[in-house]
This record gives sequence, structure tokens and C-alpha cells, in this order.
Amino acid sequence: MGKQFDELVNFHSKSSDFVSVAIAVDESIFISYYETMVDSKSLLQDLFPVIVRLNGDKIEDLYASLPFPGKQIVTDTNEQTQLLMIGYILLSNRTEEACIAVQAVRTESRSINAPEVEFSVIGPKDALIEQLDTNIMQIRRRLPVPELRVTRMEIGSLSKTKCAVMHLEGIANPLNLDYMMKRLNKIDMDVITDSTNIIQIIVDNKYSLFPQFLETERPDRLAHVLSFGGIAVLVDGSSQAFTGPVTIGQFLVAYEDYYLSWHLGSFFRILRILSILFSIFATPVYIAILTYHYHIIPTLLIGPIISSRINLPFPPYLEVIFMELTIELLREAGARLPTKIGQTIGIVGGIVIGTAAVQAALTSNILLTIVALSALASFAVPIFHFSNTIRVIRYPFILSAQMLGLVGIVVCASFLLVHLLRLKSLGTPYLQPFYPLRFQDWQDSVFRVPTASFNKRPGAFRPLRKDRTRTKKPDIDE
Amino acid sequence: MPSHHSIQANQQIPSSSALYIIFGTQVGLDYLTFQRKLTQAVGQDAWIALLITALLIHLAIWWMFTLLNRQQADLATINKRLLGTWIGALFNTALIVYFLLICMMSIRLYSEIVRIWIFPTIHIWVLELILLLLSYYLVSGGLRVIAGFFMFSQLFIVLNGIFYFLRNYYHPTNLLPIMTHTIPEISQAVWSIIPSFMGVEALLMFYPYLNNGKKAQRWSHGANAITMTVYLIILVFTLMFFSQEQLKDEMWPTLTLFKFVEFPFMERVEFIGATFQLSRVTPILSLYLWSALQTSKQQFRFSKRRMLPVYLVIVFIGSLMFHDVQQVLKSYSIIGQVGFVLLFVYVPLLIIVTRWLPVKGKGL
Repeated sequence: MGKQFDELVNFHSKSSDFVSVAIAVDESIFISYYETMVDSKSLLQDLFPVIVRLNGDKIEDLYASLPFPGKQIVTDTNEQTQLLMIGYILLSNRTEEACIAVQAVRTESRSINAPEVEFSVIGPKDALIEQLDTNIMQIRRRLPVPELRVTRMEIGSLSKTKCAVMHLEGIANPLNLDYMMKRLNKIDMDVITDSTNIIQIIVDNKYSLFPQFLETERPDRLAHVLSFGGIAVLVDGSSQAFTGPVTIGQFLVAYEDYYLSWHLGSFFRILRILSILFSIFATPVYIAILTYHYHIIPTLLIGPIISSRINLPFPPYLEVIFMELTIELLREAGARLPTKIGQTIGIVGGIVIGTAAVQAALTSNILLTIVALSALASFAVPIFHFSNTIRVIRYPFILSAQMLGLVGIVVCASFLLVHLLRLKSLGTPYLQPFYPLRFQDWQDSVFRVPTASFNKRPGAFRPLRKDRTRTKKPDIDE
Repeated sequence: MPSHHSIQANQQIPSSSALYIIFGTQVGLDYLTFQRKLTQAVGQDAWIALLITALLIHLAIWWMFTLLNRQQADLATINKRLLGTWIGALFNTALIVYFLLICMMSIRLYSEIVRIWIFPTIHIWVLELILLLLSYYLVSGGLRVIAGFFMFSQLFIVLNGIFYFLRNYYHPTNLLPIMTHTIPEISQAVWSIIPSFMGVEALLMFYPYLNNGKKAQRWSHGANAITMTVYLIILVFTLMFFSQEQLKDEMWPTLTLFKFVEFPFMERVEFIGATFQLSRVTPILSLYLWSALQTSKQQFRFSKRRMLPVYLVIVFIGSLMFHDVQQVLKSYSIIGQVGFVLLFVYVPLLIIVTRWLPVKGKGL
């Protein structure tokens, strides 16, 4: 047995799940593996019977007589350790330093389930799972062309997380790919457990509340973005992949829109834009008007407002902050509890706290309606991270409305606008298609055109080929 | 001729952005007050003076582009190039003072609007401080971000739809008779309306950042035409709404128009109108701050990031020096007329000089 290999075995033997035994007729072959990492069934049924009958002294001879796929000769000790750690079996004879690594990785994972975060009533019912290869398979099945390139890399000095960067050669802009690869290669971190870890490291602006990559669990959405020229990153152990560059227009898109008729899709998208605006501005405007600008309220409307607030001891802003925090509390408690209890909490909170708070003169009926509606509106945003952002940026608006009324709201909105104008995702302006103004991209963000007319890729990805169709529609008289 | 200067591609702004930047700076906050000056001079013939002024500005835009296309540089660089180090520095310092004065006036004017129309008890300096913080954030994003803000702030045009709701109050006969004023009277009116068209001179500074200078000329003329149209619409409705005697005493005719609008869910629209002027004044403030920064960068090689806080402090202190809104408006007219001299005397002079002088050095 080689001296180095001996050291290797000794080093690994400190873990109790490491196995290193001599087998074969004359005990000339050593087999070493982590029993927790290898597939014991294939080990017993396929590998052992062959190995026991092996003969030959040289490693090359052994190698040639092994009838398995995924075998290789390894001489470097570090590489041997790496292979051991991911579930390979090492075969060694007593004389040589080199040994044979045979793949026997235990592949246990859950089956492909329906998407839960980006649920859709109609459309495909498969979502990404925690296993990288299965995820890549799901995308490759949707885009079975050789131009779909996969670049694998390992990130994390301890976790050695496998990542795959995917793009469509000839469509994706090499600049975007270059940006993404540079940033991924620059990551220096010990443990990466999920794609969100990576996103938080590689974002353009760490201080921004806005998501700068699009996270998704839908393989159909990934294939779609890839076909536009986006770059997708899949991470092993994470059921969410992310794509870039991203623009604010993409956050208005729920993937189900594409499965509905275009009228419905457009209607829902416009509804979402309105709901985002409502969700941000409803309660601050309530505070501003009731605190400073009550002249704006018409005479007929002022009656109901007064009667609903007549018993209320608090100023509008305290009332609003109290109700907004209650709703956040309900949401947070519901999210942390198991599903069944979570539902109960929702009902208890919604009905009991709602009516009781009004009767106890903690809040007014009108405000309760506004707060509930704006909470609902924030949940209409299809991307989870974006809807969280919308809910949080309300609070600066509420405070500034209390301080300066409508002027405060406009100041706050201006700050928000400047922030969005400055923000970039992979070097691409975030506020597209609104600024820089690309009316062509509105067809797939603000509303949705019929699928057949949607024949140009969005300019935000700066694709190398713009046309989605192979033939051009003839002009009049052609 | 394509631009051959050293601005990086990702710092350039599309030539179409000249449209909303120039339109935005021209209209500024002037559309709240310009009717009064005009009617004081020429009554119902105000629109003639408006058209003449717009034509004059078209002329100015035309020769500004003649100069800029020939030199492929901004005004500060041209000054330095043609006038030498010392005289150039003098002129460029004057230019910085001009830009900063406009900043002081516009920020003070908005604060006064807020004080007059919304919060009578607010401290001016609080509002100015907030606005300056906002413009710090905006300017440090660079010209690209300022241009973006300009685009969004031009959505105010929609507010003009409000004139429809006043349809029961108009008296079209107010516009008659036509042409009852003499030419001196009309030229007096033109002179008084010139400041409301100022803002085109910012082009002299941001021209090198446009990705296609030649194309930008069309957009700039377009911007001036839109400015004229918007002024014309507001002017005609104002003239039909107010009698001339009323209008002569009305300091904020446009906001007063807003006052008469009523919706089933909202009254007193002037609160909204006055508030949203913030989104109009912020980009103008930022553009002129940026222009001042660009001038000091080209002339003295001062870092923009370092000079920005200095200029903000100067603007803050300077804007608190005005006594009241009357003084601000008066100074606004004077600075506008200085701008007129810049466009109609200085720029043609430069064109004549550069006609015979070979271009020294290339680009910036």
C-alpha cells in the first residue's frame, strides 16, 4: 500500500462512518468509502461481486476490468479526499499511490412537486427541487438545443456548493454572462446553503431593499427568461434558481399570465401595478389628508369620516401604525406556524382583532378597510421578495406623511424614484422599461400582447438576436 | 458628425432625453406665474408675444447647436479653449455663479409656494434642507439619473386636463379683440416672458453627454415647441377664465385655476398642484447644480464629488438671503435676462470667433 494513501485512510478514519477494508480473494485490494455517502444497495449488488472476483496487480489492469461508468484513476491526495467526500468509492492495491475512484453516490431526493411559492391554477405543475442535476434536466427538457450552455462551478470553501450558470449561446449577451461569472468567481465565503446567500453577495447595491435578481422556482419561467437572453444560476440544495439581469417590469409578471388569454393577462398586470401604488400610498395619504389637508375632503364625505373617528382618542398616524403593525404581526405569525394553526391564527386575527379594535376605539372602520385593502394589494405582487419590499417601504412614507403631509409623501416618493433610477441589476438599469423608455418592452410587462404578436425579445436583456420568429410578417402589398 | 468626445458609453444619455430635459427646465415653475407679466404688458394679445419669444428661442437653439457641433465640447471647455486660462477662468466662474443663482431662486421659490399655499407656518430652511438632501442624492447619481427624473416629472402635463372641469366658467370673448397693441408694447412683453423660456442654456453644459449631438437638435426644437404649446394652452384658458383686471392682481393664476376644480372625492386641487411642483423643481435644481459642478470640473479640475457639498451649502445659505417671494420673482426675471444675453450675445460672438479660429485639441 502506498504511504500517502495510508495517511489518507488514517486521516479519514477519525470519522466513524468511514470504512476502509481489504477485500478480494488475497486481500490485495483495499476499498474505502463513507458509508453515509454511498448508495449501499448498488455497493452490495453491483460493486462487491465484481471486486471480489478481480485479479491483476497493476491499477491499470484493475481499471480496465471494471465494468462501471463513472470510474477514474486518481493520484492526487486532495482530489481523492474530495471524491471520497461526495460519495465515491476508492479502490487501491497495496503497492501503488494511484487508486481508482468509482461513483456510488447516494441519490436520494424528494420527487418533483407542484410550485408552492409561485402557484398557478393552470399551467405545468412541476417546480425545481433541491437537486441540481434534476433541475438542469427540467430546463434542458424544455430547451433541447445544444446552444443551451451550462457552466459548473463550486462556491463556498466549506460547503463546496455546486452551482450551474446557464445561458443560451447566440442569444444571451456575453457582457451579461461576463458580469455574472466575474461576480460568482469573486465570492469568498465559507458556507452557501441557498441561492439567496449568493444573491445577497453578488447584488449591485447591498443597501437596497429591492430584489436585484429574479428568484423563481418555476422551470417554465426559467426557460422563458433564458430564451430571452437572461442568465440563470442554479444552486445545488436550493429549490429556487435566480436569473439576471432583472428589471422592474419583470416583477409585475406572474407566470400564469402567459397561460391565460392576453386580455386577462393584461388586465391582471394593470391591476397589479395599481395595487402596488395603492399599497404604498393609501395609508400615508390617509394620514396626510386627515392631519393637514382636511380641506381636500368634500363636504359629503367628511360626515362618514367624522362619525367613524368620533370616539377615537389617537391621532391618525398612531392609528395607522397600530393597524399596519397588527397586520404585519398576523402575517408573520401565520408564516412561522404550521399550516393548519396558521389558518386558525388568520381567522382569529382577522375577525376578532378587526371588529374588536374598532369597538374598543383603537381604530376607525374606514382606516381598517384601507389597511386591509393595502395589505391585500401587497400580496397581489407575484414575486415574494418584491411584495415584502412593498410592505416595508410603506413605513418611511407613513412617517414622512405625518411630518410634512402631502409634501412629505412627494419628498419620500422622490427619494424612492431616485433610488430606483440609480439602481442597476448586472449593470442594467433597473427601472426599465420606464426609464430608459422602451415602449416595445411594455408588451410583456405593463400589459401582455397576444402570444403570436409577441415576436420581439425584450430589449432589457440586450439579446444578440431580437426576433423570436424565424420569418418576418409581410408588410402590406408584399 | 458623430460626437468624438471621451464620455463613456454607459454615462451617455440618449439624444431624445434633450426633449424632456429642455422642456422640463424651460417650463420649470414659470407656468404658475407667467400669465401675469404678459397680460400686464399686452392684455389679450399675450399669445402673440408668446409665439414671437418661442421663435426667438428656436433661433437660439439653432446657433447653440452650430457652436456645439463645431466644437464638440461644453461651454466651459470652449471658454477655456478660446479665452485662455485666465480670462476663461473668469468667464467660467461667472457661469458657475449664474448656475448657482438659478439653484437658489428655484429652491426658494418652491419653498415659498409651499408656505403660501400649504403650510403657512413652516420654516423655509427645513424644506430647503430636505430638498437639498434629495438633490444631493440625485446629483451624485450622475446626469443619467437626473435625466431619468426629468422624464418622470414631465408627467405633470396630465394636470392640464384639469382645465376641462372648468368648462362652465370660460368666456371666450375675453380673447378678443386681436392685435390692439403696438409693437413696442409687444416687444416689452417679449422681454418680460424671456425668463420663462430660459433653461435651454443648460444644453451648453450637457451637450457632450448626448450620444448623438446632431439628432439632439431636432429633439431640442421639439422641446421648445412643446413648451410653447403648453404655455399657449395655459395662457388661453387663463385669459378666458379671468378678466384682465383680475389677472393683473393675480400672482399665481394657474394655482388659482386649480382652486375652482371639484370632484366628488376631492376638492381644493391646488393642494395637489402645489405639492407636485416639488417633482418639477428637484430635477431643475439638480441639473443646474450638475452644470456648476461640470464647469468647475472642466475649468479647475475640481472633483465633482468633493464640490457637490460645497455648492449645496452655498445654495442653502444664498437662498435664505431673499426677503420674500416678490424679491425672488424679480431676481428670477433678472437672471433670465442675463440668460438672454448669454444666448443672444455671447453665443453668437463665440460662433463668429470660432469661425476663423482652428479647433485646438480634440474633444474634452
